[in-house]
Amino acid sequence: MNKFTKIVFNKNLPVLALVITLLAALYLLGLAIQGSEQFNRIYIWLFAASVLAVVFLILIIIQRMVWLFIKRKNNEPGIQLTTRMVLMFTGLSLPPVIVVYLFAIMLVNQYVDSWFDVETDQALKDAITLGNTFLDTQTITHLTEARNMAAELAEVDPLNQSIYLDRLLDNSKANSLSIYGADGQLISTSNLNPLNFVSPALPQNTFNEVSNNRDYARVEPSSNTGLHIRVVLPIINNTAINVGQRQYLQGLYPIPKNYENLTINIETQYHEYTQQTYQRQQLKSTFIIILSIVLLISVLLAMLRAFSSARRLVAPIKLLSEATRDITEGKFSKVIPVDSNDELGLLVQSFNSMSIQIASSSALAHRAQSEAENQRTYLENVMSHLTSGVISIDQDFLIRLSNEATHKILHLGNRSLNNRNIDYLAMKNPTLKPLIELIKQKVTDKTNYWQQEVLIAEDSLRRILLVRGSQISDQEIEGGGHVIVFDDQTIINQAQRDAAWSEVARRLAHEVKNPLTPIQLSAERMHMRFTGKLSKEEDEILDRATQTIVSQVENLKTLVNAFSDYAKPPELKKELGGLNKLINEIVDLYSLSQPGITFTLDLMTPEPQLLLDKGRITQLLTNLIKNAQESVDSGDVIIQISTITHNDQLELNIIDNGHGFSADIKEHVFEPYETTKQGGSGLGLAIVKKIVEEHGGIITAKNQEIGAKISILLPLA
Amino acid sequence: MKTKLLLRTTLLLLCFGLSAAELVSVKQQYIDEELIITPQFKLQLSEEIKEAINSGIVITFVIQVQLMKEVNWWYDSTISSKRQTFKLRYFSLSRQYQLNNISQKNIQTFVTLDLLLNHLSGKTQFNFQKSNSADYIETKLFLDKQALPSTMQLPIVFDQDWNINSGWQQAKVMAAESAETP
Repeated sequence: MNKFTKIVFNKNLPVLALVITLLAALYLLGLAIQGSEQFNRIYIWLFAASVLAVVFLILIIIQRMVWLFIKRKNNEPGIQLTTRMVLMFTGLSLPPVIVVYLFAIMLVNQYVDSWFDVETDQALKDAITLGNTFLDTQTITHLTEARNMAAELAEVDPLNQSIYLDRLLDNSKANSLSIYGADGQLISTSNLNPLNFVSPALPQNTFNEVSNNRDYARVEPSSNTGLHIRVVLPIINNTAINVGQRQYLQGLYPIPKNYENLTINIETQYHEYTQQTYQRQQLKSTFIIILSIVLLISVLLAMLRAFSSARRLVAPIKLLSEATRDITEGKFSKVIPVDSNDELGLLVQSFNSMSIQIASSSALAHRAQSEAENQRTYLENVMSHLTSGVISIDQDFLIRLSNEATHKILHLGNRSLNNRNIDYLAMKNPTLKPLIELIKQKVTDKTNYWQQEVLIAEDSLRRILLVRGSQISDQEIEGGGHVIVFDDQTIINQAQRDAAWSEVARRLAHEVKNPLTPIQLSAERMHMRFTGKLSKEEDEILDRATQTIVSQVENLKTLVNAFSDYAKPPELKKELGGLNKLINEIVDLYSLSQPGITFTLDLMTPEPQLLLDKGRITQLLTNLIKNAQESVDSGDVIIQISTITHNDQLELNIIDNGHGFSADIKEHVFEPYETTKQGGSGLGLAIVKKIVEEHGGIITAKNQEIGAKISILLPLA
Repeated sequence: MKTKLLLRTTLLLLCFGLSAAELVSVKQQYIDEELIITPQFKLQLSEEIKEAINSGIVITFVIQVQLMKEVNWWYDSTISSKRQTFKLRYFSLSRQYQLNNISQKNIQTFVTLDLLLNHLSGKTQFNFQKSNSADYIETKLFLDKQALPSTMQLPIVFDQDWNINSGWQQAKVMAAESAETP
């Protein structure tokens, strides 16, 4: 069924039908030229059909050429080869066809010309003249005889003419003798052939001639091929009854058979020759026209065949080209149908095998890649859940892998670090320079395993990173590399330090506080016991000494209490409230007791609500204001207190116009026993930091152009 | 009828140019129940055709006559149509021209070509059954080029000398009383 459909709907079928029709028309044209009468009448239509078919062929060729032009414009695969093959086929077919055409025309001309020559022409003319002379002689002879018979009949009574006519026929060479009346009506007739009952007619034009008293004697064609001599002449009746009555005698004389055949043959040959002579140029023209059509058909068919062959030859190449392009685009499933068993078919088969192999290899590679990707994703997921920062670098210090914790610990934002040089980390965060230098050194030294703490100082924040590195050999990873893991130890270290300080403070408080009361009581007792018992001068000394002891003991008690508070803070009692009221109370208190301080407040209203221990926060504010006040060496004290919210945090800023933090303690101002003040315990800011941390906040300190700024971030309720 | 005639004549002239055959008159005779039509053409042959005839080439002429009835807004209908085919031939030995009426199987010879042409173009009769519904007569005389030898047909396709065709010519059908009597 498919095969049948393929044949019926083959797009070349109309062209094939056209070509067959054309060839059939040409064949019939050839038959018609050769004189076949059955095709003679349709000759011109056959020719028109041929011309129409040629026009159709030309249109088809034009359509193919337009197709070729469009495809070339679109630069379709294989079109260059198609064009070249079409040109080649056409070029190959043209010369032989044109040569044959020219030779055929030349031969036709020569062949047609060879039919004619002067001698033949003259001979045939002479033959015709001879024939004419012979027939003229015969005509004159029969005319003379007929005249004699007419004269005899003129003397015969009309009633006996019929009998006399038979006698005359017997003595004459005529086939038949007939007498017609003046009106042309047959009166009597006598035939040699008794079976011929058809009376010979007297043609009207002959009768017209003899009516004018003229004798008629002519050779006439008796049928299509035969000849006879017709003689008609008037009978002037001399009989008494019919004197003057006009009658006509018609005699039909045959040409002797042997002479007739010869004359007819001469006439036939002569006419054939003269016809051919007349058609000589027309014959040449006809042959040239037909040959030109044949030439056109040959060239057009060659071109058509060239198109078809080129397309068929190029089709697998085009498919190969398309399939190759598909493969380069990663589509390996393309299979080209194999339509032939030739070299091209073999090439297509080989290509199909290759593409199948590539497809299977690609599938394997894809699977492997997918597995690698899965493993990488798994590794990235695992790494992203690590709290430690992990980066791997190659020998060229390019970061190959990093996890999210790296970004957090190194404060690098979210931008990917992969495939960047490790110096990029220092560029993004200059405080990481010590870390980068350490890593570079270890990588350069090819240290197998190392571990070191690195201090990263960011303004008031000091962070300690515990960095561990391990070298990866060439055998493990191509080109080798280094894995660096780091943890932020700041909190742990701080916690340890805080614990140590608390322990120191607790011990100090315990060890120092106990002997202070006996010392104070002993000093007061000494003062009471010896006052007035000593000389005035000694009394003054005693008084001054005991007062010094008592006051220093008070100072020590204060210090010990501070240490005690730091070491073991009271339990927090957080409740919902705002900072504004607490700040205002402290400010009012200081304004009353310390009139030299100028407060500038910029507090948010309505005040944000926080969970806070009011006592501890009051202590925090007191410590900070006290610090600010004490930082001013001379002149008016100006303290700015402001609050502002950021997302879910409240920022409390306290800015003074003091001397700020000195460079040597700036990095650890919040550590106990770090102070710039004379007689300061060094616990003020440490306690402040502790209170902030107890409330889940962050505290930072930095110097400004004038004075220092303490910022505290506390979570909103 | 005039519009149609004009249209047909224009088309004919466009197709074939000026013709060497023209209708002069149409003789109509009523004999008993028959209408005898004798179209009379003015027929002139070019020297080239005469040369062809004298060379022995048989030339075929066709005369057609048809009785027509007018139809409004449509093609006129043909009531009856007749044609006679003549083969014109020259015999060198007898030095006569033969006119063979193929349709009526009648052969006539003429001493000169002009006599033959006069006979052909002026004395060819067509007998029709008398018809009251016929409005007009159409007649045509033409040289049948397709009957010529095939080698001649192509070169003379556009040759005006060979293009002898009067085209369809019309004449009104005369009433019996006004027609010529025998």
